[in-house]
Amino acid sequence: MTSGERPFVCAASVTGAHHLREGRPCQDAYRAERLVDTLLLVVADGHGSSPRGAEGAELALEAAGRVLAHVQEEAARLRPAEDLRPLRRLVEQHARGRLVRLWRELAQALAPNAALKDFGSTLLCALWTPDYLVALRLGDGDLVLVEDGRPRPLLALPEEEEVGDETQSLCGPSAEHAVRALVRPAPRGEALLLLATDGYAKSYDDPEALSAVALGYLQQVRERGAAAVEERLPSYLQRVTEQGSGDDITCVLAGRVAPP
Amino acid sequence: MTNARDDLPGGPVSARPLHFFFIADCSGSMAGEKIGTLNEAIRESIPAMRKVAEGNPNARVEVQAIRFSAGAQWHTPRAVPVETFDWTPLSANGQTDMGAALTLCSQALKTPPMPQRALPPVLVLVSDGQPTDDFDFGLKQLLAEPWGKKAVRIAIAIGDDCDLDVLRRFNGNPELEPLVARDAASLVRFIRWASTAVLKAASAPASQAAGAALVHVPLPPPPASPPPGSANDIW
Repeated sequence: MTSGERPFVCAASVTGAHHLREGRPCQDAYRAERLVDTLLLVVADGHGSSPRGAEGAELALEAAGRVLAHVQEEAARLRPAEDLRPLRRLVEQHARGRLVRLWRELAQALAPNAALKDFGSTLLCALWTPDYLVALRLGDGDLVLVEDGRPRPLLALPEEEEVGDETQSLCGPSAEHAVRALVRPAPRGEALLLLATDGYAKSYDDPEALSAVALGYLQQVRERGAAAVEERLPSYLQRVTEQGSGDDITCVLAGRVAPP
Repeated sequence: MTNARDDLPGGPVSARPLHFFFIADCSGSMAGEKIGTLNEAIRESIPAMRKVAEGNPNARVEVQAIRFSAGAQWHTPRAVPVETFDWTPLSANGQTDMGAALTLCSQALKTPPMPQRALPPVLVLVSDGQPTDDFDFGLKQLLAEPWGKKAVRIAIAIGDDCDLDVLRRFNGNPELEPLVARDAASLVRFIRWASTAVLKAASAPASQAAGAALVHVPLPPPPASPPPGSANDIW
């Protein structure tokens, strides 16, 4: 994060309206932290068909936190402010595989005799420092970056993967290859990054609707402040799940806005 | 002061659409009691479909129907919300152009008009005979669409003259054999099961890892098909 703008982080998670009707718990998990000038953001969605999906989502937070911490340590040596290519190689060649392996080790340590698919979960995560933004995704959900006033989906999936309720997963046989990664310079100026589980986008007819959602949140943070948005976020998400998809919904918002 | 009801970022949200298709054989061999029973079974299933839909306000159920004989046509000109859906009786005459029906259905499953965020569509194919046109081409067209591939496909055979292998390929589900109705009561039961239990399963699919299961939407067990040779067999 650079000076000039105020950094912010907001996050909330609600149990899906349909899950509540069926007496099922929320199987999403999130982590949203601001550490001095760095943002660590993780969202995971345990599969409804996985009996221990909620635990799998928590393990995804743990794995992503460790892997992104390692990326940050290595980045200090790789001088990404001068050249992003070494960092990109590190993420492409090592971080993606490490993420999946670590999640699997954690699941096996927790329940050595359980099947990995019992813990199935998706994962979206980002590390945003003053010099670079690293984002990783495995499975459905959305990442949207608003920069220069324009929203842009990051690491978008091909249409075939966006259709239906099957998704790439940490428990999948080709998980390591299915992890999508992005390494780019840190957004400059006013910016917002939105990470959300798929229940959010599935509440809108327009597949690009989360771009408008992200813009709307940036405007609210600018006008009302992050604390006010964080206070409202659970009621927004509650309304979206009740009138929309009925699924669990988790949303993490982070970035910076210009001072008033 | 503005509240969270007025200023939802991104604007209004809505329930996920679920498209339910009846694909009905109207060939000449269906004339008489078969088509009459099918009309009655679908008509009687509508209130139960509405009840299922009411139980899940996060799904917006819309119903469409295709009839096939010499060629295939939309029996309903557009998708109709189940709340206002009414069944216009089918009549029977001509051949069994099942392939044309699947091709027509594949066009409705393209994205767009089908939204990416839709719930898995349900396709209920009812037939008493063997395709008289290029079934393989129609099935290929259907499965070329992501929503065709991921649809819940249920085949119901009327009588023993159907090509069950064709219907198995339509189902594409090793856990579900085509349902064989040899009497009116069985046909009614199968239509009721497809339009309620299957509809309910498709309206709230649990997310799952791609490739983890053989089927996209796990289904409740169907009613049993009475064995051939039962006293009630009429078809």
